[in-house]
Amino acid sequence: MTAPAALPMDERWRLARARFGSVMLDAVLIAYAAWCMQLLVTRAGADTAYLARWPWLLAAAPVLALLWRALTPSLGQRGYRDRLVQHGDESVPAAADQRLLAAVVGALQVVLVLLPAVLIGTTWRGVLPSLLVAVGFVAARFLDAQGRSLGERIAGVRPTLRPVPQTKVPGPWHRRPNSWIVILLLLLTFSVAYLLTQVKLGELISGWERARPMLGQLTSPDWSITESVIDKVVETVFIALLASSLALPVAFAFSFLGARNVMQGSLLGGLVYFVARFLMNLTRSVEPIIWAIIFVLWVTSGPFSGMLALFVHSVAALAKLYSEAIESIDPGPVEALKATGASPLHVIRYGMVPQVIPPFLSFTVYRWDINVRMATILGFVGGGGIGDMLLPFTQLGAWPKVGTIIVFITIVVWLMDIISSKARERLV
Amino acid sequence: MAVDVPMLKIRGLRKVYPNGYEALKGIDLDVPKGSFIVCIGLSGAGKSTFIRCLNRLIEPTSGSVELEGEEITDVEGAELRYVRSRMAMIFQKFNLVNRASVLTNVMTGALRRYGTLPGLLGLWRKQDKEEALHFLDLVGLADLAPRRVDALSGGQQQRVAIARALMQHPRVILADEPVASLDPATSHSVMDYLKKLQEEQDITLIANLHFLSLAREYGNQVVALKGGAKVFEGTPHEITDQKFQEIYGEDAAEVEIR
Ligand SMILES: Nc1ncnc2c1ncn2[C@@H]1O[C@H](COP(=O)(O)OP(=O)(O)O)[C@@H](O)[C@H]1O
Ligand SMILES: [Mg+2]
Repeated sequence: MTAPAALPMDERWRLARARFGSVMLDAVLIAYAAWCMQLLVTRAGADTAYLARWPWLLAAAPVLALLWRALTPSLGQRGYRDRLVQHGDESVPAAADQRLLAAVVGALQVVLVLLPAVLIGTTWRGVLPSLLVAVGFVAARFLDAQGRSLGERIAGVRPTLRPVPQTKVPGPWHRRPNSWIVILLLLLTFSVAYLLTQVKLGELISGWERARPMLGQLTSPDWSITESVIDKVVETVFIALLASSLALPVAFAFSFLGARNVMQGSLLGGLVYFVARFLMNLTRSVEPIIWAIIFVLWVTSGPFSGMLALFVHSVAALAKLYSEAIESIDPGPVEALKATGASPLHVIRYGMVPQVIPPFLSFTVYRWDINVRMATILGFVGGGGIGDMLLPFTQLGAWPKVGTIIVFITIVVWLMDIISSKARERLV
Repeated sequence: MAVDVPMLKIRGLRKVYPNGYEALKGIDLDVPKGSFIVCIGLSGAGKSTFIRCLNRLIEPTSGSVELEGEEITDVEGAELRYVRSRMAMIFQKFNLVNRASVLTNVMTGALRRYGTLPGLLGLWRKQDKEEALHFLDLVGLADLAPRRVDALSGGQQQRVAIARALMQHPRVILADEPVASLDPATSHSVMDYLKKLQEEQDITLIANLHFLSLAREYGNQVVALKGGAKVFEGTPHEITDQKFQEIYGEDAAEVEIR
């Protein structure tokens, strides 16, 4: 039994990250469970204000997380695949008493970390020493040649990310503590979801009398407005068409900046990639209806503002899809073009662009389809299209007219779906 | 210039990949002008890495490469592109631009001689187009110029790649397993074209080949790599059975077939 050789620094870094990550994941799960219980108990009428104080959870969760892994490989350890093995022999997993010893020492360390915060108070004067102590413990792990914490050293074990051979057959699912923990977490989650959604099953039945006349009128459309509805539907389709077409060239230019295989290699390239990706994700996560509110203010209400809203959102959404298409191209032609001595722009033009044109067109047609759907409601905030008509009729309770509009929206969405899927079949 | 300056002078060429794997362990080699050098070795021996370190598609970690007496391991930008254009490359998977015509593919070999805009728009000069057609004629594909390359057979595609290489006016052609995706008969026809270039156009050839029989037939010098090191250098006839075993180990029998 010889002591294993010192681990290289990057290996220690990976170990420290995995150990920290898995403990934090366990702690977050425990804190989440506690929060759920507190919410449920409070709603049930009990006074549990003391539970809601975060220092409590903050202190208890990591301690419980450590004890969890002393009993059985925790869920966090499943996620990060970190295990404890004998210091001298990697093929033998840590024994139960060793795991417990390591966990207890770890728990004491957590208490030490939190002590300043508890004693001095949870202001920065208390939190700062706590942070320093925590950093000290992580650093100690680094300084050890095997990346061990103090507790692991005392217990004669060390962490590893390599798979550890199973020593005993795992029992049936109901004998494994983790099964019950997962079941508890799921139960808590759905109970909280039920509570927060304010589910009122009774209303579904008692409210029927209110809804029935409306549904009746909706299903007997008023065809007298057909002509103006068709005008608006056509407007909707063209708003979406213009937004998608204008988005194509802009997204095209953007997408190369957001493709890893184009931008990698230099620091500047990496920075541009990062910024481009960030802008794309940010823009995309704001829904077109919100963009429409902005543009209605900017260029006043009407189809133009709706088109701009769809355009901005489409640029971001398309650029992301395009970038992913660029990242999955065959690198062969790119390599071949580089080997001819072609300049970077020429390499992109001949090595990449021909490969991505079919997926780009396909994504754009699909975007048009999606934009038509979105354009049907932009009118609610003044963004033009069929929604313009839908809103006043809804407010007036003119249900037969609303019914007519719904019929035409359904037809156009259905047609767009067919057209776009047929077109995309041809393209790919 | 002295006659005995080699086409390529390679000294201590090393490549360590970012994951720490040392794929080339200091290769020394002189490639005489107009020779046909065949590089053999098991897959994973480092042949592709070696050939890509020559035109810097892969950055060597250390060592030097001289092309006709000029040190090329530290050139950058336009100079690097000029170096690459003088060392054309042929690939196992052809690496053509699939959705483009045969002619466009051949023209990409001339891109270095075009400005940004004409190159992007494909405004090829008349004499370049004529030259491209001439090279297509040379590889027996003159009639196929307007066809899309993905409609061609593997052997035809590799001949398009050869025409693209010629379009660069290369001094050297680097071929990375040029016939590994082709059937034996087509393989020989493609190798014959390469041999013809070496003999008639005074182009120096370096080809990675998996099969020793092809190496014997076409090479006038053989270099064997094993685990990133040069374990043999000599004429094809000098490879004895014992040497052969040494290079290929247990897989020797399989490699001799063909
Ligand atoms: N990008 C890379 N990163 C790490 N190792 C690599 C990379 N490319 C190739 N290798 C390794 O380098 C060795 C040589 O590869 P290669 O030059 O492709 O050999 P050959 O062409 O003779 O089959 C192989 O063991 C391969 O796994
Ligand atoms: Mg190879």
